[in-house]
Amino acid sequence: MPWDDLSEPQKKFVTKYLDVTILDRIAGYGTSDATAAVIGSFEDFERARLGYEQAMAAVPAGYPEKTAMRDSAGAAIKLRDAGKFTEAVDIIAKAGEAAQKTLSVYITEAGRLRLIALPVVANANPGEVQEIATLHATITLAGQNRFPDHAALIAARNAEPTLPIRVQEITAAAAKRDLDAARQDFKDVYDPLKAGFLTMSTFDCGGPYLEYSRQTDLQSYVSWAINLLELGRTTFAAEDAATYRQGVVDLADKGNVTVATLDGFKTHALAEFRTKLAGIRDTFESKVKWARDLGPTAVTPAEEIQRGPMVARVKLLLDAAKDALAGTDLQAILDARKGIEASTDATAMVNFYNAVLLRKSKAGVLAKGVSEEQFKGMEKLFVTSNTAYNAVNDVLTKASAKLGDVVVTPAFLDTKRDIAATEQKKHDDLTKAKTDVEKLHVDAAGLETKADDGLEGLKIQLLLAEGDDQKRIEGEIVAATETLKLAKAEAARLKLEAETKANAVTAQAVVLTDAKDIVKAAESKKGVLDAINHGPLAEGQVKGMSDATRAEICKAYSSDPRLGAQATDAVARAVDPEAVGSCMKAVNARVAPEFSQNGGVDDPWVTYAERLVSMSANLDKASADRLDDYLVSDRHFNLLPELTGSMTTEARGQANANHVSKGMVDGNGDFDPVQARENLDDIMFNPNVLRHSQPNLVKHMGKTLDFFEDTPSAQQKVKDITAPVGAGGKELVANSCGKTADTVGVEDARQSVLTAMLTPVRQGPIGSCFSTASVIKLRDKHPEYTLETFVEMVEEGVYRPEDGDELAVISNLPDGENPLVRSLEYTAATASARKTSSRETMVLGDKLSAGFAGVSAKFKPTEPNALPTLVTTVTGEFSCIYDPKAAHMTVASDGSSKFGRYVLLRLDTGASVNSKTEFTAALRDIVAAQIDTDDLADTVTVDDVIDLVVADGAVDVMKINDKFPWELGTGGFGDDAAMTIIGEQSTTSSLVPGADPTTSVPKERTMAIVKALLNGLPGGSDDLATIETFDHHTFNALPNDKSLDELRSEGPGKINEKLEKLLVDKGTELRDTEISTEKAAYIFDKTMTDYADSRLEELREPLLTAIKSLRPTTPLKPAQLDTLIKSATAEFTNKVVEHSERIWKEGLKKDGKPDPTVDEVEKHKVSSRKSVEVNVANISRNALCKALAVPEIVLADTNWGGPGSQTLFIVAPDPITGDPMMFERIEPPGTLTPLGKDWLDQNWVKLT
Amino acid sequence: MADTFPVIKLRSSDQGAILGVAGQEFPSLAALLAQLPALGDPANAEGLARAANHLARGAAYSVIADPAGFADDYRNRLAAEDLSSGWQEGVYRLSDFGVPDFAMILPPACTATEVVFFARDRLTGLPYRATFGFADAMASYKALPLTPVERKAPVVQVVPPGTVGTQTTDSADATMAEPPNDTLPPDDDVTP
Repeated sequence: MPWDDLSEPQKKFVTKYLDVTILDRIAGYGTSDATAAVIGSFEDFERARLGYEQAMAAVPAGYPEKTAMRDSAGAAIKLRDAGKFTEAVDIIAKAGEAAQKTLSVYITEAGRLRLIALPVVANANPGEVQEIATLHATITLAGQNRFPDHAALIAARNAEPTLPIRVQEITAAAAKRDLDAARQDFKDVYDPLKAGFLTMSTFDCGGPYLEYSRQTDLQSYVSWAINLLELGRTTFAAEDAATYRQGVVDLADKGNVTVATLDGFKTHALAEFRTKLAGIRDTFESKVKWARDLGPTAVTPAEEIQRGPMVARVKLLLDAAKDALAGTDLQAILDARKGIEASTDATAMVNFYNAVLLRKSKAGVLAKGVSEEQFKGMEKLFVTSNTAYNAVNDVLTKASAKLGDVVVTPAFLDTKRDIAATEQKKHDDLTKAKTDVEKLHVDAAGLETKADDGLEGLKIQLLLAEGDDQKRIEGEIVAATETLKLAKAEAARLKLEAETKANAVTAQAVVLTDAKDIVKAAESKKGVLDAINHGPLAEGQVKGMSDATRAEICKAYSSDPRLGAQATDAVARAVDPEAVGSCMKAVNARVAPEFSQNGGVDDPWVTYAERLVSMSANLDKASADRLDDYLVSDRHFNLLPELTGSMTTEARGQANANHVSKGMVDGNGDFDPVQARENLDDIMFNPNVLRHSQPNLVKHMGKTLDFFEDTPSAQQKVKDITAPVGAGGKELVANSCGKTADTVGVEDARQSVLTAMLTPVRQGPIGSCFSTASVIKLRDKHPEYTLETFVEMVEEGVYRPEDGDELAVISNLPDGENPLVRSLEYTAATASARKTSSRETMVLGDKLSAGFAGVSAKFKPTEPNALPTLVTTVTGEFSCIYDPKAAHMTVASDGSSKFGRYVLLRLDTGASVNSKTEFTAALRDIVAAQIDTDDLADTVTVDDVIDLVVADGAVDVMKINDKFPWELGTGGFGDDAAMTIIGEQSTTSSLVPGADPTTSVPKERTMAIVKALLNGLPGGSDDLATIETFDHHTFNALPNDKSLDELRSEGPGKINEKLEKLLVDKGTELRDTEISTEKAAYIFDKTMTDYADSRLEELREPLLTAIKSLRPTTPLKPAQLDTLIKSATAEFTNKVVEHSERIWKEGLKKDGKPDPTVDEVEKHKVSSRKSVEVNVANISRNALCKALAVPEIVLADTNWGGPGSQTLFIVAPDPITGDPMMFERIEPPGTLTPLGKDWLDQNWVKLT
Repeated sequence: MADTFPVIKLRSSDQGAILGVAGQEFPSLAALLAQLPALGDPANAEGLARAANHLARGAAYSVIADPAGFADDYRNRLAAEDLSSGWQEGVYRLSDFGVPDFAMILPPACTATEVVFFARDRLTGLPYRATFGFADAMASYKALPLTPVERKAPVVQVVPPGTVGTQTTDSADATMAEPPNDTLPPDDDVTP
């Protein structure tokens, strides 16, 4: 741009800010690119300033914030003059926007006043009343969009008598909307975008009635919030955050936040910034000093060169920070912090510090007997998880006290375990020998006493004897004396020998303890190092695990290796890893100190600790956090006899639920959340209860308490429960409370309802999946409605379906299970079946109408309704029921038969109708009984009609949808159940049509099903979406499961692509990636050891031998490791087959049955071998999936399970084959079992 | 005397249930009684009950005109049922529900505005107390309270052969109990 083309202000500016050299060039040749950019910025500023000036000119003079706006503009000009264009443009632009908005508000307000007040003005004499005159003037001005005076507008607003009221009303409404939005947004007020949005919504919703001074404050406030964000969320204490939120709410709500309040907040924020900077500075200062003082041997030559300049430069940054901290200039403080954080020297300093420290620490760790390979995991922890690094180091220190500097390899551990076993055997042998000698000594001592007694007796006899007797006795005394002497000698010898043996046992006990301690130390050391290198404690294995949690788990290895292993397993399958961390913290602090010196399997405290940790894997953190209080208050010493002892799993579940329900309400029926939670603590943490923990029940009970705590109306419904009046309700209550029906009262009624609410709905051994799926959904989606249903069942003994007549409750229920839940399931199934029957008989009516058409000619012409009457009457004599045992009318394409279909039933006889013969016989009987002969035409007989309706031609046309009336199929169960139980009108639509099992390919079917489920059930408000494998099973998909979040993260269009990546690509990668030797050995050892531990002791030996002889020595792919595990169990399998055969034969003999034939024996062998092989294959696959952190996608809840667990359908890439595979996952503990191909080939449908 | 009243025939048309008397057809009881008020006599309660039941529920319920006969049938059916087995899907047994107080079941009766009668659900066999308003044709079917049947023996849970989609799993107990083995259940859990 030539110089002459610049405006005067531009020339002035350039002259002022550009150096002489450049100026010379500009003068001669024009501006360079650099100066053009500067001038461009100047122009931007000028443009913004012009906009601002125009808007400000139009804003009325009296507007209170006008001065502040001018101040902003003045500040912007100063910034411009200082060359800070970006900031200057930003401020002037904002000031311009504020002025524009203010102006638009005036226009709106004036327009509004004009509209409201125009009739008033039109009917008034402007000269009569001053207020009207003012109003009139303002309206006139408003029509011209001119506002000379802010005060005039305010006066106008106040002039019209009704206006202030109207204004207040509207303001209140606007403010309310505003506040709702503001409060909603403040949930995430730390987010700058949200904060900005808040400002805008407050601004907009407040409309013309919010004073703009408030907006200014609010904007200022939000900008402070954004600054505070830079501190990082974690440094902002919760109470400060609350104050902050309240401050903004007050601003938006009342608009009366004073400057003092805001200033106070700013002061507080400034203090926060200062504290943060001081912390950073102090940290670096100590590092600088440390680095400066390091001896030359501690650093490498390269580090020595780096050290001096780096320290000096960081020192400069710290000095700058010191200066900033001395003042109150926020920007200086921010700059100082940014200076340090952005400094490459500071980063280098941190790296230098870490590198030197790690080197020093590593030397110490390796000296404790850790290999370079094993240290790799620690090195990662050193960088990412310092607390955990220290915890591991503590374990190593403790272990090295016993082991010295030996590296614990699998072979070392094998050897030490063998030694311990040998020492144990020696101890056992010596103990037995000692016991044997002690017995001999007791016998000898007895003989001595006996001999002594005999001698004393002879001596007395001698005193009384005479003659020959005297001589004889003297002889006997000599012999007895000799006997006594020998007995004494023998007893003394044996006593000495027993003492010697006892000493040997004592000495051996010391040796044994030492051997065991060595094993324990080795197991702790290897366990923790394996866990951080190859197991769940390795980086990236468990999402959401904090440093503190990892450290607490590492610490557990110090107390007992078994506890450490249990905690490591637990965190890998945890609902929330932090819950395990919280539990471990309490266990480490409160339970571990109780461990006996030797610990191990016999120590009940170790067992208790393990069970607590295992339970914590199923809890949310809030629940796990309660453990510490539980232990501190010694509630774990409560015996709770009503929850222990011999009972079925279901009965135990009822006992547990009753324990919690007893705490939920007091005698008046008032909800008691504190006692309820304390009783739930017992179910989660009491050692006696944990012997048979029921995690699924615990999870459900926690959710139920949440529901009651959040729902006062539900609490009131429980309080309002009355004593049952009917026998059915009384029986349900009595069964639930363990009383007799004649003794139950209102408190029992409340408790039984609450216990039912606390019991998860699961499909029992007997049940109808079709209704169970809907009852599960009802309980999940409509808990309060379910509560009302239970109340009706108890109080009145009836169940009222959403569709259809009420039913008396079913009282024939399995023992031990929750009577209300099971009764609801069965009664709802019956109600649902009534609907199904009604639906099916309507279809039958259509079929009969078609078949009976020819009969119309047989009726009198004057009776047009004779035919529909006959059809309806005959139809009404049939019903349809679902018979789970009835074979399908058609054989499946693979030749198999299926069971479970509707059956046509004659209501007059109760007989089922399964053939044409039976059907025509039924028609004959029913038509003869039901026809109205008055309708018949002259000369027509009943037989004439019957002959017509049973004729082949007539029956043939009764075929609708290719089915005769007696050929009933299946389907519609889920629809009917949903309508009856939840009131949801639904229809069935296909997800994936069924496949021909002879040609279908499992991996393709799996992908087709998974894609159909994810695309066909997009998620949303319902956590459960009912689906069916048609004719087979009805259950609920879980479209909102968190495992689907990532797949849905980029919208529906990307789901299939992501599925391919997650299941197919990942599967291929897993299949083809070699597992390192160390990790393969870890997986092999752990799998085989866990498996051996769970087998009968007499069968373990082949497994233990195989662990030593077949442990991997090279890297392996998953399939190779799988093969190795299977081959390592071959000998064990042979033993199990033999063992199983022996037990079986003994059982037959005991039952008085004949010996099995050779064929039967062979069949038994094949069956038991297959059973073990399938089991081993599952164990192996599960181990690989867990160790390789295979991603699992949850698809559906199967309905199955109980108080302990529930079973889900999931899909995951199989690391062995690389193919996507569907599994049943038992949750907890997360065990996978491949889903049978028959499921994959089903016709998958959804109810919508 | 019931036999002095003309029979109210339970008929159907394409539009649904209707009534017929002496060749005339009526869409409702209100229409019928408007034209033939004599049929509203309390002595004709049984006829009115059948008509009301037909209009309200069609063939799903039958009117209990003979309470004693109903009681006998109910008891006989109960006696024939196996009281030792549990509930089964698709099998309707009175013993699953219980026994009514038969004294509560009375013959149909009517007032000027409604007819009250007891009805049997033809699918389940259970008794209901029904009311039907003449003017508004509003029907109510209330289940009678039932006293549970005393079981002869504990319910034995058996999964019927061929039943699909049924499974129980409660493995968490095993994981938390003492280490399981190949043949022994957890030490103090009882398998039903």
